[in-house]
Amino acid sequence: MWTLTELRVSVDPDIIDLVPAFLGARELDASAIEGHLSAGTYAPIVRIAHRMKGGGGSYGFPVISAIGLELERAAHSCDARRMADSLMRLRTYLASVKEALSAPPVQTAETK
Amino acid sequence: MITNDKGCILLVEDSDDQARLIERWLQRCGFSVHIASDGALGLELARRGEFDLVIAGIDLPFYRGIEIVGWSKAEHPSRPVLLLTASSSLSESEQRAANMADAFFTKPLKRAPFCDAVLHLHTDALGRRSDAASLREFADAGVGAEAGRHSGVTHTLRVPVGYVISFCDASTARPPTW
Repeated sequence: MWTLTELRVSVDPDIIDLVPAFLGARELDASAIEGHLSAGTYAPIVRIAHRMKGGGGSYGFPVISAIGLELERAAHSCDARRMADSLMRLRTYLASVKEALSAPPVQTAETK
Repeated sequence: MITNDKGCILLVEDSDDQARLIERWLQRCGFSVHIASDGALGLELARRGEFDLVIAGIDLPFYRGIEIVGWSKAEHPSRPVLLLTASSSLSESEQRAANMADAFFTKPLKRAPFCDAVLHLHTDALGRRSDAASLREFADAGVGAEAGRHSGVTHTLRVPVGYVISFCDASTARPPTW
């Protein structure tokens, strides 16, 4: 499970329209990682993880960068179990973000 | 209203979502952006002189950012190049390329420092081009050739060039010693 702090994202309003495509691309990454993991081909996982590491924080999703870093390290050391763990973390995180984005906005002291 | 007349930037980035993000940031700064999605296309475009600034990732398919910065600096030395990487450690050749570039950023990028660096590099390059143009005009007037030879046409020469213009008589031109 994710803590509220981990789920808190700070997205620049100027790029809000780019976020759905960014998250959609991470879902495709998750499927591709799963395929490579089953096939035992780890080099493409290193590349995917490297991109995730670089991209997540730039979009305001530092957790995606952190998962990318874990996954890259696991793929470099050919550790299939750690890769599978990272993949699971990525999927649950994406599902949580999707759920949070589809929920009505919460009123805070600032927005009231 | 956003105007994109500050200049044109070549962005060589193979990650589509990173390219879209950086493009958006640069457009908000007033630049137009041309995206090349691999190193081969990036290198071909970087060798042309039509871009005001080049931004390239280090890890690219076909040609790497190292080649792009090398060629760009060899053929257009005054044009700024900014390198990007998601790697926390650099190889020796990557470090050399980073030293050759005008700026170097590690991803994830933060909008404000990244855009500040691009704007600063662009303004600085414009200043250098303006100095070079002044020296060329000066040379056409018959006095600039000496000044240009002394100056090396670098952006640090704004004051000496002004000094020459103020105090030299073009008909009896003798560059001051500085």
